[in-house]
Amino acid sequence: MAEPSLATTRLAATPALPPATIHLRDGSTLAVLAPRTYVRLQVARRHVGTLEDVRVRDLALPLAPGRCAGDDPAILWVAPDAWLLVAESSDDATLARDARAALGDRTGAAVDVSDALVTLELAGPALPTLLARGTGVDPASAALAPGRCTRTRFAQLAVLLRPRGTDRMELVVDRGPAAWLRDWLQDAAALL
Amino acid sequence: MAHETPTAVADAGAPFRLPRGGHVDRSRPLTFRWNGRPLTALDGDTLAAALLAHGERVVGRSFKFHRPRGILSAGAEEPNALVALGRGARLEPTARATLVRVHEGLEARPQNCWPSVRFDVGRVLDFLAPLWPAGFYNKTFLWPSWHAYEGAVRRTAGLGDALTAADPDLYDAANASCDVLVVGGGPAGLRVAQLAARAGLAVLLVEQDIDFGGSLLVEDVALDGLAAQAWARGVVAELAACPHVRLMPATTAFGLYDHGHAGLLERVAERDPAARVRQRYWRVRARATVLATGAIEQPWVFERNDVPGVMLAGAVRTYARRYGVAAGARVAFATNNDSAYLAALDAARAGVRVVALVDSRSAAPTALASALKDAGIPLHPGAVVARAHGGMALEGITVTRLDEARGESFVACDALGTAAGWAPTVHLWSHARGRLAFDADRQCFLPVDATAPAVCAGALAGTHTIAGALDSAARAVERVATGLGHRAAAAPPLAVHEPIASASVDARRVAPAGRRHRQWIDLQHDVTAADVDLALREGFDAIEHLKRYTTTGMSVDQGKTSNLNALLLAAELGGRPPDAVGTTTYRPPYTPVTLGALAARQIGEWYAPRRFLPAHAEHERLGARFEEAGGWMRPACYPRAGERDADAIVREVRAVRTAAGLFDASPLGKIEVEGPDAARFLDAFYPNNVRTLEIGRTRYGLMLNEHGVIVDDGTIARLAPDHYVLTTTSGGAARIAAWLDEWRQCEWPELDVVVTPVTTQWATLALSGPNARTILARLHSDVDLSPDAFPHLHVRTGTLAGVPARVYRVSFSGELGYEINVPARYGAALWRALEHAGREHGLEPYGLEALLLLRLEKGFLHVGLDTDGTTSPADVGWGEVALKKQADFVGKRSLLRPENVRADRLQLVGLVGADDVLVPGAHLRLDGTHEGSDGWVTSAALSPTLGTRIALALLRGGRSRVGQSVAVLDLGRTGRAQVVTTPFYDPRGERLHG
Repeated sequence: MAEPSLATTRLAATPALPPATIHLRDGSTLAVLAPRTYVRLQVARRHVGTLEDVRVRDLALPLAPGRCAGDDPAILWVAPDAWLLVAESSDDATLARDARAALGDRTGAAVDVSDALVTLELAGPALPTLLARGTGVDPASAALAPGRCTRTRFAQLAVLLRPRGTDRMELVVDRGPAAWLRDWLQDAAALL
Repeated sequence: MAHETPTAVADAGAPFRLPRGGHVDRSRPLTFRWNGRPLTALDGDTLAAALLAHGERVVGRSFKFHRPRGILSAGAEEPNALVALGRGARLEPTARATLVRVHEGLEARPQNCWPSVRFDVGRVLDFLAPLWPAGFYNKTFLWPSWHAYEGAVRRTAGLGDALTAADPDLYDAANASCDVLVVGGGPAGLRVAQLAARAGLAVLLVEQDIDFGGSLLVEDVALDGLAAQAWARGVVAELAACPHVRLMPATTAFGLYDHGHAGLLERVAERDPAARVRQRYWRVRARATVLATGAIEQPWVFERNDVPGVMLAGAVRTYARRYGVAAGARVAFATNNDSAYLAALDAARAGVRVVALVDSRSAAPTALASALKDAGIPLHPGAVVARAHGGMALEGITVTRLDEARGESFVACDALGTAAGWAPTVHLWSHARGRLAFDADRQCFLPVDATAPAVCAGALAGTHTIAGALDSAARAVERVATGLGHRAAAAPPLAVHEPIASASVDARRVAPAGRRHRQWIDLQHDVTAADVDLALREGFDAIEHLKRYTTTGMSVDQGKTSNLNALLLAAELGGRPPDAVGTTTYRPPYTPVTLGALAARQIGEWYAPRRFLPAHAEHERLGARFEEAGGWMRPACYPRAGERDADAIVREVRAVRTAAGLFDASPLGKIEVEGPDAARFLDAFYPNNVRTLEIGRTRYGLMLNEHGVIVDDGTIARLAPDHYVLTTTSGGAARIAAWLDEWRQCEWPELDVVVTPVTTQWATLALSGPNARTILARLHSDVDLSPDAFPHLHVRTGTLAGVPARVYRVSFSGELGYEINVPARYGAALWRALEHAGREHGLEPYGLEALLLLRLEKGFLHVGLDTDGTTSPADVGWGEVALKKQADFVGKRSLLRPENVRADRLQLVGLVGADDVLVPGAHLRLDGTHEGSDGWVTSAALSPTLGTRIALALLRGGRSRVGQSVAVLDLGRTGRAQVVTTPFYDPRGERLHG
């Protein structure tokens, strides 16, 4: 352990899980994606009906359940009064500020939760079969069409499923059990 | 009577194997072991077929009387042929021989017998049968008490041996969705799947048999000019080519629930021996469900109808046609309907020697009777089988004419197929609360469509012919497709060539003569007609009562061949119509489900999610012994090489008391509450005042539920005028966040406030001990750590070692303490930096065990350990605080209920003394009481700091008993302890304010 000078050292960041791609069977993969910026935006209940003109970096908040808008950043509807903002960069320090500013005078909060979330990605032909091991949500349902996202229980965990194209699915999960879920998926794939 | 070998056998190893026919592969002989003896079989045989082929008559012993029993059926309804498969950890008890496909090396043996199935000592119970009528438990075992008999009864009860070794096989679980779930792969189910698939619907077709076809595998019919089996193979091939169809043979739909949810058990290894998974549990959500589950033939009831060799008529036909096996050398049939004629004719055509057909109806069906005559099968119209003869195997039957003369004749036979009509397999329909009505013509219960949970087809829909089944399938698909907004393709009618037979069933199914207590209704549980008589005489005329009194239908076959007979007999004896008697409740599972499959992968490592700390790798480096707490893998302690855990814990406690310790508190729940109404919102949750909390300060608080019971505790910190951060217990993090959100959304939507859970966003490290400030000050920060600038119960935000930080001056150890929060990505680096900074100051990492000891010495509450589901604030010393608060808060009203102000409530106190007996869970007794419990020890330990044994306890009226002594009882040991106030250590709190 080498900590040269405590008086000047800046703490180093360690990702919750090291980014990696794990090859499953039949060309399918399970990837731990590089850390991103995630911001949870919430407004007080009484403002929910007043959000049509809210723009975060020129992007309107998707107001219909399960809808997503944009790409980088993307805005994901997660509840009638809450959204998850996603930027590909791991330290988009202004995203939370921009989101909060977009609410104007409305009561709300834009909280950086980048460190709380890990993104796993399943891709390839085994995707529907593997999803069926963890959740009862039909992979072919409208809830998992591209441009949608859905929060559900997956392998006993609260997971946000975000389709990226027809054969790729992101699983956004809390950092605590992320390693367990990664290993769970690998084990499930081995039994297919 | 020695078995007479059929005239036409080819397989020398198996004397009852017919020389031709059957869907078995005669080029692929297999060897299996029955009761240790090697026997031959053919690929495609079930174990029951192979045993019959070898003339094995006795395959099991009954549950109660240990009577010898033979194979009755050829399907899931089998009550007798329950066998043990495999050995060791792979032992499978109570498998139905009629469903087990023989594979090379299969090991099977009978169960519920000793020393052998042919000579079973337990049979003595049968000779004492008059002592054991229905309800004997309730009458016989009353004096002196049930417990005097319980041990012996439990030892003799049960079927098969339970496993003691862990199951070495792998199981899996999966979800599936479809437009149409089709249950049953017989003619109706295949046709439904075919037409639904052609209509573009996503179909899931389930068949419990390993082969699709159902009755088409047995009956001698032609469809569209094709043999039935060829037609079935064509449909399966067509379905297999459809990408939107999933075919699931060897899969049982064992339960049908609300909203189109079905439970399936796929026997993967049976279909694919190379598969890693033995069985898979499927949870299916279907937009529509079509049940084509067929019907189960019901047996006749007559004296000694359980002699091995007495079977179902349809089973005789199945063994002959599907497996090429003769049920006997001389086979007779007994019936009350036409179907046995077809069975007899088919069996005869397959090479079985049929010696008689006994029909209870005096007017036999003309065409079928004529066909019987042509086949040389003697017909006994207007007669019933009154009794069977033979002991270990059937030797013949007494046939009684139903005319006034009641003439009797003897027919020598070694197999008898009985046919008392068909009971549609309504189980799944009834699971989903579908209604049933009695059909007097067919003498069975049929689904009533008014409240349909599914669409029925085939025999379940009341058809009894292949043509009828196919028609009903087309109607079912039309209905389903319309319901789902699809258009069913026109179904071209199929030309079906099949014999004409009536569905009508004569009401007679119990022989009018014979000894009633030897007329078996439930073969598995040894329930007789006499038992039904007795139950009715004793007033158990409600069918659910009758079932429980006699135990009919309560064994592992769930009465598939006995329930209908029992209720029809009860109806007849009670003079009530069967509809008025009704059926018992059908409950899942349809057939037994392996517990391993229900657990599936959710065992061991995958039993529950494991959460890992941001600095997990650092704890591993330091040799932490991890334990699971609230789903987190947390260091319990950090034993050094050769050090015992207990010594490591004491060392860690001393380090915190004398120098410094570092603890990973990251799982501590963290919830941000923001908005103009944040103070008002939070004030409604805590019995102490939140509104007066100043910016930069923190306060400890209890959280109550509506009943005034403590459900969590933690701190409230005010970072800005409208911005608070709560901490909760680690185990309560998610629960309390959801609880706050529920109140925000449902009860107080008008409040201008938002709630954001951020538990894992932050790594939280607790730095405790007299040297804590010195160590923390070594990291560069814009937070002034001096005692005046940053006193106890304050919070500061700023940067620490170059990253954002929230630093709390709080203590759960009783020493000077800081809880340092940094974004989780920096958690590991912060741990290393503090470890490095503390090296010269005696810093040691400490785990959960040391933390719990430190807080116990301080008397700090551990919610859930020192409280239970009744503990109120007053019980832990917060009574005055709560009562003083003017504003309302959740649980306030309940605190004034009489129950909550009783003087003798269980209240938290400190205890000292009693040495070894003062352990968690030990019970307390006040002086003057000699039985029961006056409370219990919630936390206890030998205090490393004080050198004495200390405890917290919930004691009846405890807060008024300080200074008294109480008795302590633990597992036969006793001692005494003194009731004291807490804290035990540093009662004035000087150290944590240091």
